[in-house]
Amino acid sequence: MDEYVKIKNLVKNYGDVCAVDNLSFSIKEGEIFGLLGPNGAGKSTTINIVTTLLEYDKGTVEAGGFDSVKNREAMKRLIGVVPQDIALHPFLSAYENVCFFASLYGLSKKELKEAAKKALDFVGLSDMAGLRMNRMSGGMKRRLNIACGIAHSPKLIVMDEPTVGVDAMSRDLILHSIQVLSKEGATVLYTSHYMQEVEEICDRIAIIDKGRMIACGTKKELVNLVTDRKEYEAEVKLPADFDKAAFYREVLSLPDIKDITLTEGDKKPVLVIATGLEFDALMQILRILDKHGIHVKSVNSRIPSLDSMFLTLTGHDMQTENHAG
Amino acid sequence: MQIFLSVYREFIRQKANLFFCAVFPAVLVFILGTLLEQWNISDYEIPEIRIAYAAENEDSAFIQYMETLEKQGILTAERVEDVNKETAMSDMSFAAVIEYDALGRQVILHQGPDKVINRALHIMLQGYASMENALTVCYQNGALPDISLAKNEGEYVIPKKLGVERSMIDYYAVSMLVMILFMGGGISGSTMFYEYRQGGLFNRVVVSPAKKIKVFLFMLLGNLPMTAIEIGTIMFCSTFLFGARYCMNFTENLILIVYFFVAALMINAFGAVVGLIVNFNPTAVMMPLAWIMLFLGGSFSKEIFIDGISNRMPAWVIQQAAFDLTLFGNYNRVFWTGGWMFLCFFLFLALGAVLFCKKKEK
Repeated sequence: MDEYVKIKNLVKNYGDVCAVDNLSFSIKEGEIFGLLGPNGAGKSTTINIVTTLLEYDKGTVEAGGFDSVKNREAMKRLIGVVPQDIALHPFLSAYENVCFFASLYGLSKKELKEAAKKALDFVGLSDMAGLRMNRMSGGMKRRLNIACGIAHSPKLIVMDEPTVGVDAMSRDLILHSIQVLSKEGATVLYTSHYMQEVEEICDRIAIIDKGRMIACGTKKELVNLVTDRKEYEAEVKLPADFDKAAFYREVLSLPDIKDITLTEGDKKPVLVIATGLEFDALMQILRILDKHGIHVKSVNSRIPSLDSMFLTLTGHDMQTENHAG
Repeated sequence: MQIFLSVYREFIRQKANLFFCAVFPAVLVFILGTLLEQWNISDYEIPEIRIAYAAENEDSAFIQYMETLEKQGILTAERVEDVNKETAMSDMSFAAVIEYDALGRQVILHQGPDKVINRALHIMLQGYASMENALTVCYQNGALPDISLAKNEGEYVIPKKLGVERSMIDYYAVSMLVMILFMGGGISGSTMFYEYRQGGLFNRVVVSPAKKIKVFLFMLLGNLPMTAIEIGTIMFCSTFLFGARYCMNFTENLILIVYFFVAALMINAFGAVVGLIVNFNPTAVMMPLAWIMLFLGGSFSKEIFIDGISNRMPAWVIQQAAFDLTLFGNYNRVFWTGGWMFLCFFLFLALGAVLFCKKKEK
């Protein structure tokens, strides 16, 4: 896939405060690219620069082959924006809202009708086309917000925290919709401070903090930056004739097993097996346990997540930063 | 067109807007019209005047004058002997007491409480004195005055209609229109863009490839139906409920409507510029500004006029041109003022479009 969005050495200052500090990344065509970071990391500033809402001090921003300074108007035509705030006309219906925003992108009257219908179908609001925005639930407003941003079939869709404050069902619908858009060929730049969402739908993720790029890559690549293992922890009951050495030998003979520890004593025995990130033979371990008469009461997996990866890379917890912000 | 429709629909679907555009002006006209019906000075009828007068000399022309006035039915004049006793009277049945001082060659008017009667009597007596002076001058110059020496028993003054029927509601109908333009149009023009910015809609429009000047213009035009409803409500209610008169004929009324429409365009555009400049609710700027202009411009009361200030107020200028057209059928001022307002509209439009394009939300 070619690079559709290219950002190089981007710098944006607000007085003495450097909001974006030499940020560089690219987004491939058709990719869902996640921009992750706590409050104040520079996500919204970066988004606003890409959508041409903000000017920047240094660097280059290109999308679809157009430069944001030299070919501003052409670049704007490619972009659909779904802002974080629900920016809709409260007294217009869903259909009228979509028509309004689509008309800003030069659609003809006939095209407007078709585009509005398609967009509302896409977000599951076709039955609510005549309902005024101020009478909708939060989830419906969010979906309408999306419909207004995609009605003109943009090539690049910029979504700034589109699931804030929505119910679980609407959230799932929104995330599913984004994946469908990507499959249809749109490139999506998605920002969030919800790790789980980003892990779920993004092809690649960039983590920024204090205006700087911390890491960028697929989830696997990011996790590999900080660790090369995952762990399985099991609470077990050992048989009376338990042969520890034989057990260890058999488990360690499995491929990609890094380490095995068994803690005994007054507390209930806990078995911890560390494997490589690619290990997927848990059933084999359970068979070995069964073979040696070890009764398993519970099993937990400690798979490295973006949360732990973020903590390792930045030294602070992203959720705590968001709550503090 | 979508932009115009969206602004118009947003406006028309809010009940509060309909109240302020249609109900409030109608109530305003009703209250003002009812008040002015009772205090309508220009249609004030002077009631029967009963006066007492004292004069020493039986043959004096003054007595003849008073008796003639009584015969003509203009007033009831009762001759009294002692004016001092009559001025100290307790029954207050006389509207005024007149004392003719032959020696001092003056007429003393002891005025009652009714200012209009006092003024009427003053005019009558001053007329008498002026006639005496005229006759004296003629006598001194040896010229015979061109009057009949025989007593004229018939009606000497024949009343006819001038053909102009005006009342205070005619003044306040026009001034109310100006008031609504400034208060309603100016404030709504400013708050529209402010609300757009507050709601995040502004950013969404800015990031689109739509021509900003086109967006700005159509948003402004979308606000005009509100002003049209306000103007229509005031004109309709004042005309059909209280008989207010605007222009003499249909063509002039049409010119008047177009004139106010142009004024609405200019004021809305000015409000929009204010709404784009300030970063707080622009009502805090527009309301006092409009109020001061209207107050000093005589929109609230025709008695208020400060030379050098009032006649420089836009409200006053707009009003006076409208009065020229409605009262005298004079187009010149309307065309000149309308032309200037159109020019100002384009200036504000250009300025607003530049601000709209340059505006970046932080």
